[in-house]
Amino acid sequence: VIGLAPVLLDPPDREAGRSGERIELDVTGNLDRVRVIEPAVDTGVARIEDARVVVSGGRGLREADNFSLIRSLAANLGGMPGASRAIVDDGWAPPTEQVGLTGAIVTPDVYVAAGISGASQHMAGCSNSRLIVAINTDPDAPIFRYAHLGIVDDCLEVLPELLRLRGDAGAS
Amino acid sequence: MPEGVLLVMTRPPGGGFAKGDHEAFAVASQLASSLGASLSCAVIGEDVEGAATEAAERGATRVLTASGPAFGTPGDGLVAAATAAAAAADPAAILVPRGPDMLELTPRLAARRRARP
Repeated sequence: VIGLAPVLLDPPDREAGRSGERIELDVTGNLDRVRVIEPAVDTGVARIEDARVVVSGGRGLREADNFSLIRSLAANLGGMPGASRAIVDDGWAPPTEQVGLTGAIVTPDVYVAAGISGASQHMAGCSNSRLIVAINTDPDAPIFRYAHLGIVDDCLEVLPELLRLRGDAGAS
Repeated sequence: MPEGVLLVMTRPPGGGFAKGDHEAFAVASQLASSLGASLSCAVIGEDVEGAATEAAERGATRVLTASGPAFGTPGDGLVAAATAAAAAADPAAILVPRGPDMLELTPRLAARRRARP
């Protein structure tokens, strides 16, 4: 029995109308030993691990309120916000949004890292993303070793501009 | 003698595979192909129709399903259904996508199959 972590593979294409042998399992035994009274966790909430687009922010956002730029761009792109451990520890974002070795391991189609240096602990959670876009003022930041696209600039300038280009009326 | 590959997908979202299921299906498909063996998929959950159809359309030889409220939450129902699927398919390898159910399901299933997790 093998458990599989997310990897970057595409399944065979669908062939409409193709049908394999279908078997309805006869599941016997006591299925009622556990009765769910109330879920402790709302399983209906979208999981960052399943997001096709993740927009993450780090200390380069400089203050907690600027994490709203991350949330806005994530929403605009139909994705989910993520955060480095540093800003989660600072309380700018909840632990459920932390990406990295001690947070979620994500493999989205697009991962935008804004103001994130690219420490190995963070990259362990996102380096298998199909496309990594890095925004950082430091051209020597480790994140650019992983990024497919890099923008050497202040994320507080770039994020509003991206929102403006995406037609977000709330972008300043 | 056990042969073939069984992919166990639990509690798929309505309408088709979860994201991790796509990737797991790709691995399972490649493994089955490299072994020259068949690929069976167990789809277990409250509503499995979309994912079961997708599994068949992507090339699963057999699709084993267990559906209903008993399989909509983590726990004994999923384990019982996965065990029944493994008994029916008698595979050489069972693959479980990473997800909320994997950590509980894999050791319990391995113990019932006397396999190694």
